[in-house]
Amino acid sequence: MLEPLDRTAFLRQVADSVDLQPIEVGEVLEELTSHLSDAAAGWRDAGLDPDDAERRAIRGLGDPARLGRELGEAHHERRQLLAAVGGGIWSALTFGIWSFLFVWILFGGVGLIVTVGAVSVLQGLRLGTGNWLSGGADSLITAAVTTIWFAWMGWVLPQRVARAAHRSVRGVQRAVGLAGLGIGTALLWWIPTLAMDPILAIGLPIGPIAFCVAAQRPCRGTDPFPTTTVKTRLGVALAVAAVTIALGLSTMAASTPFQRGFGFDTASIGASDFAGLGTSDTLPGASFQVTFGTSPTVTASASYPDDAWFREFAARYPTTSLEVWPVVATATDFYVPGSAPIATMRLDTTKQAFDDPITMDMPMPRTPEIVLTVLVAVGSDGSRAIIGSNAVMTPTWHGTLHDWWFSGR
Amino acid sequence: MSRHPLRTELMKGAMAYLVLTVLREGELYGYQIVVKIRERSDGAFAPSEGSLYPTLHRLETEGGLEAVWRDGEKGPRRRWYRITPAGLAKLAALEEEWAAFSVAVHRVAARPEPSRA
Repeated sequence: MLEPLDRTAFLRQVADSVDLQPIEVGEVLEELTSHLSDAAAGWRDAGLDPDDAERRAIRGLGDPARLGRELGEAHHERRQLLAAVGGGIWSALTFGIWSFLFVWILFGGVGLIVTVGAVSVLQGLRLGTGNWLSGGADSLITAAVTTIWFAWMGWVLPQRVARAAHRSVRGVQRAVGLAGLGIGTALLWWIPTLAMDPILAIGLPIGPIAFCVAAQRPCRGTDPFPTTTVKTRLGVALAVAAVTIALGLSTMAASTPFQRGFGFDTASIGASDFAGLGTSDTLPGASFQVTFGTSPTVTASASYPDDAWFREFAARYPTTSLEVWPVVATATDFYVPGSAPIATMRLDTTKQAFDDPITMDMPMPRTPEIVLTVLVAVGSDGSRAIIGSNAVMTPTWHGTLHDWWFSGR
Repeated sequence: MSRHPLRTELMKGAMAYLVLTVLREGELYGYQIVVKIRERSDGAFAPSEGSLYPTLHRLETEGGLEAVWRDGEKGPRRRWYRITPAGLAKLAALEEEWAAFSVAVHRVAARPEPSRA
């Protein structure tokens, strides 16, 4: 037998048991409240005192937990769910694409403003800025926007699916969240081949996690800006983009770090003096090119004045060393710190054909960096003379997230 | 324990049928439906109010009913239910099913004819 409860406690038990969106729960409780009022009035008209009438009215609705469960189930219609899941996902995706464009332009623009602003300030203070505009800032923006987009999708998707299916949001949230976590992780880790750097490698996996967490949020409205139209959002985004482009162009025009006084200190690598060969500095007549392939290889070639010259040179320097050295950039010049080369390949000069290209594998840095690729002549006494050098930016590392973390390179 | 266990079980199965029947005559809200069924059965049926609302919401989800909130003249606003064409079609099917069921129950329950020697 149901214990006589007060109306508030009864309705609270119903609310705790019903598996519906808050707005629906509110309507259910309102309907039951009006029913209780009518039923209690009916019992009062039948001669019961108000307390007994209230108790009889409450008792007439039966077990509140069971009533809540059955009311929740009454809103769950399997056919509607199947039909609506597709529509809900499509709705969320189209909504998400608009949101993504908005968020991308907005955050990208703000990020660029901050970056170019910082570069301008540092330039003004004559502090080094390196190559920031092509470095981590865009990766940071990409990772942030991707995470925000995933979180946004997690925010709206369960609501849209549930609403279209007349399903409980709470019932859909866990399934959608876990599915998004699994599918998103699989897609991100194995499919896209991206120009990867540490910021992206760490930031991108956060996206599906953010999706899953956002999907479990307490049920409220789907849009934090419900009164903002798509036109308004695009207008704001375009205005930010216009300001960003104007600021970016003006700032970059005044910010040319690589055109400032260019110097290169390579003393730590070897002498630039071919004593006895009548040369100084780099080898006269030698040309030297370095190319990085998409695979981690570097190719260098040097050409010499003539075969006779090369024979004399080979007798004096029996070893040729192709080396890739790290470079430190300052605001005004570059220097080689001289600790150790990133990669080295030694060849027997006497066995080299004249004008042979030299190719070697090298570990590709995970982040683009300036390196000095140097061809060094090594004498039998260990003396070193630079044949030629070329400062280049290593190409951006390309691959999947899975390769980044587990390829072992 | 109900004094009429068979009636209680039948009421559960027949709730949708009874609800659609009384709503065929016009819009009603939940408590009015209870009263209407009780009156129409001369008190023989006292529908469980606890199963009435799940039935109403299920019929609404299935498209057999439409519901609209209206402010009460004195009391709180109430949720009025109206039968839809789909609900009328469902009611017709239920009537047919119920009639067949009722006839079958009568046949089974009827006193058996005396056996002929």
